[in-house]
Formats: sequence, C-alpha cells, structure tokens
Amino acid sequence: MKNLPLMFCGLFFALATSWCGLILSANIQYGALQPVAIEQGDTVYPQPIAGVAQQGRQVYIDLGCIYCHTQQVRPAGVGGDLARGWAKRGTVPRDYILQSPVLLGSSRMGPDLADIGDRMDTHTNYLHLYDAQLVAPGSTQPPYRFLFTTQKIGDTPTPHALKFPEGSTEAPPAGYEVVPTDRAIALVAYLHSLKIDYELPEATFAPGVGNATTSGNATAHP
Amino acid sequence: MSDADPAKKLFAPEPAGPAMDPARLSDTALQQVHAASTAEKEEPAVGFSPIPVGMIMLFTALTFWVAIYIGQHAGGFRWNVYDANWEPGGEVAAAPPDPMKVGARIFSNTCQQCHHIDGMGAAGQYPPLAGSPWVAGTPDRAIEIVLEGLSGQATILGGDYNGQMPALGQSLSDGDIAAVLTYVRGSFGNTASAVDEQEVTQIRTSLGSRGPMSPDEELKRHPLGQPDNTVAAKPAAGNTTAAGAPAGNTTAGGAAPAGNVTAGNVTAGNLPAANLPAANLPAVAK
Amino acid sequence: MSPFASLVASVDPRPDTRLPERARLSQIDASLRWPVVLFVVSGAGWLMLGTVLGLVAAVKLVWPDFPGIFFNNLEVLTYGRIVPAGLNALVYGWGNNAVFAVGLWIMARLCGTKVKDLGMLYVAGGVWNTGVLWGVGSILVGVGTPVEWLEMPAGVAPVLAASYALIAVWAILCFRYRQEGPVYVSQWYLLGAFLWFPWVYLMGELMVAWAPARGTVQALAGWWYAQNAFGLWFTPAALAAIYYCLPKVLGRPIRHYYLSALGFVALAMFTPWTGARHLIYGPVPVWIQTVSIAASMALMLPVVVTALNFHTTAWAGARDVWRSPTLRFIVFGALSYTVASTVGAVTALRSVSVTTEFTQFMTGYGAHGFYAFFTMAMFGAIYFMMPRVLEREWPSAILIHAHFWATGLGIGMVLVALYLGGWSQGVAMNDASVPFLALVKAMLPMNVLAIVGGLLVLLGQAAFMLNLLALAGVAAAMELLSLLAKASGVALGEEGA
Repeated sequence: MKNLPLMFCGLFFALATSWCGLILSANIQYGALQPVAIEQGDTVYPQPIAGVAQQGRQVYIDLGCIYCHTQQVRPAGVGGDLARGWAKRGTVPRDYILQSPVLLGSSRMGPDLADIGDRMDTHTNYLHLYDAQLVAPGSTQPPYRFLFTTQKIGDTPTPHALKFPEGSTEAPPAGYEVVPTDRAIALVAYLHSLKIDYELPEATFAPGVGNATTSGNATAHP
Repeated sequence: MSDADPAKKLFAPEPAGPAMDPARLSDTALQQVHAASTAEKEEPAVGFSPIPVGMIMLFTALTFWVAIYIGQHAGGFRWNVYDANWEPGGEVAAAPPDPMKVGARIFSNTCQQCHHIDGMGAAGQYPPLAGSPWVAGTPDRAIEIVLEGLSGQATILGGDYNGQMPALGQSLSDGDIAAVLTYVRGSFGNTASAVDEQEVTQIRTSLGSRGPMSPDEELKRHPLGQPDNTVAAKPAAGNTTAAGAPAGNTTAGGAAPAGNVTAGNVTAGNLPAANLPAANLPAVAK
Repeated sequence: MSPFASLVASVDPRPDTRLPERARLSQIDASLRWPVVLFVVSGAGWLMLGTVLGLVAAVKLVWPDFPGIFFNNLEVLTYGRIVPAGLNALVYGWGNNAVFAVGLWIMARLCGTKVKDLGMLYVAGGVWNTGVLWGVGSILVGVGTPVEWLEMPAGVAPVLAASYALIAVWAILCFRYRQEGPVYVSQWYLLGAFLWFPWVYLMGELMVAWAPARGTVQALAGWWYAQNAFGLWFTPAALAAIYYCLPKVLGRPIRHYYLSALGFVALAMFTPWTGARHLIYGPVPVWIQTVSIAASMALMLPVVVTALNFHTTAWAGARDVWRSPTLRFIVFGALSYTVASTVGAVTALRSVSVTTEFTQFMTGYGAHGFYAFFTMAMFGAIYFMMPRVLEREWPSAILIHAHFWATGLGIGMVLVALYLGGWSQGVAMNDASVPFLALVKAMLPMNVLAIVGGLLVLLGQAAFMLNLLALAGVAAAMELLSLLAKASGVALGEEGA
C-alpha cells in the first residue's frame, strides 16, 4: 500500500460506509419521528416543555448534571431501572425528539432522572440542591449553594424559603432566610417537567412495575 | 538554517547515556527488513506454522459469531423494536385502541356541546340521545344523520325540536363516526349494537353529498322502532364481557360473532367490542 | 519559475539524497526540532492540568465539599464542570499535541522527508493551544455543549480545525514525497490517523452542534465521534509509535509482521461501526446496538494481530525491554492495548453491559485506553524522540525511572479501583432492594484508592515535566546563545563561531 490517492480513498471509504450505515440510515429510519397519540384523538406525546422549564434545562446543562445523572431508562427485564421505580417503561427515541441537545448522560453516580418529575417533592429538591447532605447523608451530590441567596427576612418570610432540619449547621442565622435564585427555580421547574408518564405505540407501560418503592431511602428522596 | 555544517552532522554520535536508548536499527533498515520479511516465503519445513492457521480460525469464528449475532438480535432492522430478543411475527405495537374510548373522546370534543355530557341534550333545543329510538335500532339512520346532518321539525321522546344538526361527514372519518356511534349506542342507557366502519363507508358512498335531510325524510327512509337487522352479526356496543371471551384474548371464542381479531390486524372501529379488553366507560350520569 | 511552482518547490520536503542516511536523518530531526518542543511541552502542560482536574473530581466524589466551604460557592469548581474540563484538557490539549509531535516526527523520519520550517507549525501550534484554552475555559464558565468529547462550544471547532489542517498537512506531504522504498506499517497508521481525525471531528461537530440531528440520532452521532476519536486517531497514533520504537530499540524486526496489514485494514473497517456500544439498552433501535456490539467483537481481530506482533517481539527481547526507559513505557502501552480492547469487547456484550454500563467501570475502561495505552505509549515515544530531535541526552535517568514506576503503579491502582468499584456498583444498581444511598456509600473505599493512584500518577508526571523542562530549557538556552553569538558576530563583522 503505497499509493496515496488509493489509500485516501480506502480510508475515506472505511469511514463513509460506517457513517452511512449507522448514522445516515438511522436518521432516515427514525430521524423524522413526530409526537404521536397512543389512541385516536388523544393528546400527542411527547409534549414540549414550558418556558421556565426550558431555562432550567439550560441550568442543568451548564452545571454539568449529565456527568452523574442519566435520562435514559432501560427497558423491562434489563437491570434494575424499572424495579427501582425510575420509570414505568423504558425510554425510546420518540421521547427525545423535542430535546436539543439530548441529555442522555452515561454515568449514574446518582439516580436516573428521566421520570424524576413524578417522584420528587419540590421543597426537598431545593434542600437537596443546597446541600445534599441535608436530605441524603453520604450522597456525593455536589452542594449548589451558589444557586441560593441568603437574605434578611422581610416583613413576612418568602414562601419558598428553605426550611432546614432542626439544629442543622447549614441553617442561616436568626432573622435570615435562604431563598432559591431564579436559576434554582428554573432548574427545579425543569426537573418537575421530566416525566415519562405517557405511553407510545411502540412503548407501553410494563405490567406490574413502577409501584416499587425505593425502600430505605429518605422520604421523598428520589 | 541549521544545515550549517553537514560534515558535523554526519559524524555526530547518537546521544548516549543511562537515560538513553540507542537505536539499533536505522529507519531505512527498519523498512527494508520488514518488507523483506513480508516478501520472503516460508522455508519449506515439516509441519506448519500455527499462526496463519490460528488467524484463519479466529477470522472464521468471528465472522460466524458476528453474522449469527446480528441475525438474532437486530430486531428485523426496524426502527420501533427496542427488545434485543424480538422475533419477527411477534407483536410490536401495543394493544389496539378501544372504540368506546375513542368514541368517548370524539363525543366530548364534538357532540357534547349540544347533546350534553350525559346525552340528555337541552329541552327544546337539542334532542336527547339517552334512550332515544333514533339512536337505537338500525345504525343506518344514525350514520346518515351524523354524515349529512338533520334540519327541520321533529318530535323526539315527547319533546319538540326544530333546529339543525350540522353535517359531520367532512370533519369525522368513517372510523371516527363508527367509534362515536358505537359509544353513543352503548352509553346513556342505550344498548344497541356497535357500528362498523365499513357500514359508514357504504352509506357515505351511497349518499354522495346530499346535504341535510329533514327529520320526516329520514324517518321515511328508516322508520323508528324496527329491529336492528344487523344485530345477529354483532354483539351489543359497550358489552365487553358478555360474550364470555376471556379478558385480553384477541382471538374470537365463545359466543363472539364473526369478525375474529388476529394480532396486529385491527383498525379503529372495526372491532366487535367483546373481543377487547374491558372498556373504561366514562362515568356518565344516566 | 511561476510563483505557484516556486511555492511548491519551497514546500518540497525532500532532503538532498546525496547525503548519507545519518546526515539526512539529522536534517529531518533538526527541521522538526522546535515545533516538536512546542507540541511536547504544551502537551505536557495540558497533561498536568487535566490530571489535576481529574484528581479534584475524584476527591469530590469522596468529599463533595472539597476544597472547603469558602471555595464551594465558586461555580467554576463544581463537579459537573471540572470533569468535562479535565477530559477536554487531556484529550485535545495533551492527546492531540502528543500526536502532532510524535506522529509528525515518525512520519517524517520514515518517509525520509524534512518538514520545511515556514513558521507555520509554530503559528498553528499556538492557535491550537489557544483554541483549547478557550474551549476549556468556556467549559469551566458553563457555556459548553453537553455532549461527551465535544463539550467545547461550537465556535471553537473551526479554530481547532484550521490549525489542525496546517499541522496535519505536513504528514500528508511527507507521505506524498516520501523516499523510494518500502512503506512501513507505522506510516499507514499515521496517514490514517491524520486523515480520519478531521473527518470525524467535523462530522461530529456538524451533527451535534452546528446542525443538530433530531433526538437520539444526535447522541448516536456524538458517540460515533467519541469512539472514532479514540479508535481512529489516538489508537493508530499510539500503535504507530509502538511499531516504530519497539524494533528500533530492540534491533530486531517485529515478529509475524506480515499480519500487520490485516490488522490495519481490520481496524479501519470495524472501528467506525462501534459507536453505539455506548447506547446499549438506550433509546436507539436494537439493530444499531447489535451492529455496534458485533463490530466491537470483530475488533478482537486487529487486537490479536497487534498482540502477536508486539508481545512476541518484546518477549524475545525481554531483557532489553526491562532495561530500556523507552521500551518500558512502550511495552506497558502495548500490553494495555490488548487488555483494554479485550475489556471493551467483553463489556460490549449485552449480558455484561447490563452490569457495567453507567458505572465507574466504563470510566476505568476509558482511562485504560486513553492513559494506560495511549499516554504511556506516547511517553515512551517522547523519551525516544526528544534526545534525537534536540541532540542531547535526558538530564536525569532517575526521574525517568521515577516517572515509570509512579505512573505505572498509579494507573494500575486507578484501574483496579474503577473496575472493581464499578463492577460492584453495577451489581448493586441492578438490585432494586439496595437503596441508592447505600450503593453510593459502598463505593467509598474504591474511590479513595483511585485518588491515591491518581496522586501517584501526578507525581510521576511531575518527574516527567521536570526532566522535560530541564532538557528543553537547556536546549533552548543553548540555541538562544548560539543565535545571539551569531548575531553579535555578524554585527562585529567577525565570522560566526
């Protein structure tokens, strides 16, 4: 093999066949999926997410949440995803057609979040973001104190100020409250919007799962 | 620039020392020696070199494994197969849609505004559907009314009505009409038979585009009170367990009539209701 | 001559063939001297930065509040930013610079062509490093792209692509104008690497950042890129380095060399199909996963070929391997390639992937391939190349020994920690009766082991950095002095020394 043009063609061919065979054919096959209703006249799914949740998605991206959390659930019979109650069915390509960029993730230092909106409680989530040790001692979730501000309590406490557990060292001094910033509110709104609570023609809820409670976890901790 | 003194470079010794590796083979020698080793033939010897045989066996084994693996686990190269152990002939899609559910949805989108959520209509304005002889009996009457509308004076269940029902044939498909009529004929206390999509298609074709009829014309075509001559072929709409078919069994059994459902071969509205999983009838007040 | 013809002539890299081989090689080495130093030193700098960031991330897995409550309000130090920043610093800062240096040098030598010193390589190298700095900085600040291996913002890609083109064109020119004679396998691997990288990079950026594909096709394109960036750029470059250094230092040819062509073709054909092995059981149709799994198994063919080539040759010269600074690293890399690729093939199988995917195991697999194979092989090639390019010995043999033992042991500990920890993480994750928090706490010992290993690796690299800076620094100082001497000699009207 000494001929440069011939080698060039061969190297290009090796790459081009795989790109066509894998990526291009995938794009042709399912790159144009549209939201669909499982029954005639029903709501089509997936649904786009609302504005605040879109902003929260940006916060999710720029904090790098994908390096510890996946948003893809493996189907029934594979691993413990459904048994852990992470969703009622495996995720399929149509679930992601309205997302750009797609946030599948590839590492689970923390639980899967594809259906977190169905499992979480907003206030616990705020505490969890502020310092995960407050609700899940031993967790490796980084503390995101910079998503909150500590401010003097005004005439009345802010409705969604954090309520720290009794005697917590993280609690602000008397007369002060910790309030989520817009970014935290948006992020939690985004997490709330993450739901796989609908069926698709190619993906229906697995029978008998999804009712498992994740035993032993702190209450309301996903 | 640094070609200053070729003579100096010529005899500059290779750097050496404990931290150094001598290059025992020059670059051209490297290329020539290897080219020679590729070109030269193996000396004839007793026995054979195991390496080429081993490589051939490895290559063959890998080829077979790859081919068999792809054959077994490629899900027919379909876009909607996500189960690695899927086999062709197995069902890919989910349960077929239930016409009672589809019909209920269409009813609430289209019919409910006038005929009211419990099918009781509004006195003097919109006739009731609950227990109405116009709905029961032969389905052709109801199909024609939905397709072409109704305009004029009529007395229904003791009330006088003189309005106009719009023609819905353009906005609803045959399957939709069959589904919503199946729903209406099986709800609000009605116990008439289900409606097939084919019946709707036949009537649509035969009617053409006649425009709304008057109630009297309609009654001349299909008088009230006559038994439904299609009932022997179909079970009651909404009656999902009466035929004795076991729940979830999609092949006909027991008293279920013609119209076997085989897996993957269903279209909305074309199902005898008894062969379906139990319909979730909407909570409609009688 | 027309201007175009004279431009072409000025670029013509062929040395004067009347000179004996030693002189020609010296010219070739001299032509690449300062670009190589630029690439290696900047690459080593990125390596240190990337390793430090990786170590910080590893500590945060054990102590999420690290480095302490004051610094924790700094968004830039959050785990989710440090991990991609470190990864990109290692891949594009260290990895690419190392391949530029070693790849260009080996290609130039084997083709017998000089690289004409047009200053282009300095500019391109500077622009490349600036681009990587901009990219890594953007990631730390939070404007990155959430696709692994493509985290740098979309605007950086054209800058990197342009500077890459100016560097890689030399590899192509060298091959085009190579001397008469047979072609060695390293030249194929390097030609492949230098041609494949821009294609996969541009395609990846296109389908992920510039004109994103819809839904999970985007993820598929992203993983196609990541797998190819490792398998068709870093892997061939490291293989080329091993194929070059091993016989040269041992003084004996590669055994079963005739298989190497098969290995090259098989690598080229199978590697690009393996991208979706990162999406097993993921939201892509099953046929795509199956094809990638099959290709990953088929990759065992070139792995067996290279194993036969490398290990039998090294075994025959085992004593020399043990004594040689270069070959310790090279053979470590070669062994790691065989083991890492086997791990890759086995974990591609669905029954194994169920346990290993999404866990630290795959992080370990990545470290195995990128560090234990590619980086160690590059270290070996750099230890061989620098003295020849700079015409002086490495200042300290002890630092080389320290480097080898520290990084060798360190990466070994890291791999053991990540593989064992990742496996038990996967088993526990698939057992729904194990609460997630308990699973996380159970990973603590292995995470600590990984930190210790990482510290060792950092120490070893510090030894390398010291040695490198001493060598390059002295060489640069001498060059500067001789330039000054010449300049002052000319100014005074005397002959240059």
